[in-house]
Amino acid sequence: MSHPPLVDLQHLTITYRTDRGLVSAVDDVSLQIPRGASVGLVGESGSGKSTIALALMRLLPPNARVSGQMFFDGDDLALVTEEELNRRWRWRQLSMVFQKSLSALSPVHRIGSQMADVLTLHEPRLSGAARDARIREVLEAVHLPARVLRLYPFELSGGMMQRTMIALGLLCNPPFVIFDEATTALDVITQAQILVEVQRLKEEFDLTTLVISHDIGVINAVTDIVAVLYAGQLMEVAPSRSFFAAPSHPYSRALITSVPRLSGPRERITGIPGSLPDLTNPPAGCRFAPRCPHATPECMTETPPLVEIAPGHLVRCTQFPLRLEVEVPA
Amino acid sequence: MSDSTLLEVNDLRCLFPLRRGPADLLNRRTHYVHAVDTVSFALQRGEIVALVGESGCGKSTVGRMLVKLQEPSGGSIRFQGQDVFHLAGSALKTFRRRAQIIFQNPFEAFDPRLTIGSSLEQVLRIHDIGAKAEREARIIQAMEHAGLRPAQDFLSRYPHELSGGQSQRIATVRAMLLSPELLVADEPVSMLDVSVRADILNQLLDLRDEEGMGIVFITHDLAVARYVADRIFVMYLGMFVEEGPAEEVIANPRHPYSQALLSNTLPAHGDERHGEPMAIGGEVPTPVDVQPGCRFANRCPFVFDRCRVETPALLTHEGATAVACHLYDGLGTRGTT
Repeated sequence: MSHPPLVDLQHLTITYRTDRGLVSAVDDVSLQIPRGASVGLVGESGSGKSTIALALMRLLPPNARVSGQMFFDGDDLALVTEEELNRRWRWRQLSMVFQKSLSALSPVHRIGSQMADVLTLHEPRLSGAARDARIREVLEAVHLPARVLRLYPFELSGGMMQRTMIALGLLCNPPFVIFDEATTALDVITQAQILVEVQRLKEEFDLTTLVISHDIGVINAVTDIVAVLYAGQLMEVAPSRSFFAAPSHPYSRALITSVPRLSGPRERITGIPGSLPDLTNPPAGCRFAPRCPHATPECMTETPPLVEIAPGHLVRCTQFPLRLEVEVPA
Repeated sequence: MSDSTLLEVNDLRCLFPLRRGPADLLNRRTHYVHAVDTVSFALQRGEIVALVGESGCGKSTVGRMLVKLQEPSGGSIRFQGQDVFHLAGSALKTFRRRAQIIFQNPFEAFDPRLTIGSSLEQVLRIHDIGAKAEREARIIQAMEHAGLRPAQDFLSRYPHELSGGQSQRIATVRAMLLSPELLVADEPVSMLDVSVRADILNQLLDLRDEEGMGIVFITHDLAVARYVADRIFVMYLGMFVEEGPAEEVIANPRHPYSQALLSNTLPAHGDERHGEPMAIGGEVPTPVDVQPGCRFANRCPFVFDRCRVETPALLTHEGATAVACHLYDGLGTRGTT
């Protein structure tokens, strides 16, 4: 028996109007996030992953043009009015934890009053006592002491700050939370601690999550499904287990093999030659083709479709699997 | 000291004064942050050592002291036998040519108002190297050798017209223009996308192998350290807690802190699993007015009484790694260096 996904992106396309022309940031992305799942969106800078998150939150800047649908539990978020968004959706249905939490909070208000503000605005019917109880509950959930409420953001360490942001994200009990590079600025051990907690909270609060990261290690650690984004195009979508066992798109493979290993042979790693295409004038075909060692002339002219190579495992590459096993000489 | 020793660091310390409030002023009491505390090591020509640790462990402060950008509070740094901290005048200028540093943020590494070409030329002009035409030829050669072709394309650009990867490669080229013997690379790839990191790392490996350069590589990333380094030094709160051949430290970390770091590192490869992450409490504290005892004691799962009163020395017990931990006492110790 299959449930409809909680979040269902259909042909999401986003362009930014800039002085240099139209920037094609997200190109025809269709992605489903099943209820209870953790979907990882991985890609390098400029891949469009944060643009997708901001589109879902309806926080894109005014120069962005969006087409396609963003269904959330059946409703198209693209069509919801601003007033409705604040009353029904943001914080209550979906929330987001950002990387730069210091700039996401007001520097001149105590943590406690900022948390209370969110509740006053989005849960106006709660009594003062119920509000306090709710705040204490989420702080406990992220293992923060109540004294944090009296502190200002600058008084918190990086780890405490990210916990505070996660607590804020959970405050109105939303079923869906976006983590946008939420642990990127943290040290190794703090990052691991927080990811373990996110996993626990996911069970405890029955969350569905979208985890955005450029760090393939983070994606490997916490997601059920991986979506690889390059220059605005989805290149591969797969259950995490099969993805990490056998990444299938040439970009996915390059992304993983360009990270040095912690064990096994110390072999020379190679990066990906070239750089991200100019998105004001993206390549006509596969956007990775100009950097792809396996590209053929047709890759340059036609965008390959996402093809299902195994249950739930989609790859956008015409060369799969025929030529990919042939290593190109360095 | 053998001929191949490039750098010898002995008991290097760096304390930063910290005034906390009016009461301290009245008492005339100054508190100190012990950023680096009695660090000793040697670097050979043609060797890369990695200083590894979390933010605030003092690794960047060590790097800055090595190239005389930060005065130490004690100890010594000898570069080919010369005491770095008493260098002045022309001897200092010569040292500046022979010891270079590259930083983490490539976007802040160049003067935004100069073209890349003029930024690079300035380096040679300051050190009176060649006539204008010669300098240009040398720059173009260095750029193309580093794979930045055609060089002319880059030289006429301004820093904001470059990607992070390009800027960092050019920052490395700039450091190399003077053919230094020592390079300090402070987190040179941590702000770059993974697909361009390999180029920078391989560039450093080639400098070691082809030019015999000695490199101090500062990073928080253990996989990167294992990739580039011959030896790894693990730092915690200003001190080395473990030191050894890169492969050995990563495969078989001995200090509880090294074990915690390694087991909490998230592997990028599907077949890399190294057991359960070791749970340690709290976060890295700031080392203010430190007392004797192991600095990791209050977070260490194996702590016992002695750890809180006696600072463990960095000692070799078995194999090639040295560890500063009382757990290894009585395992046939011998001192290092």
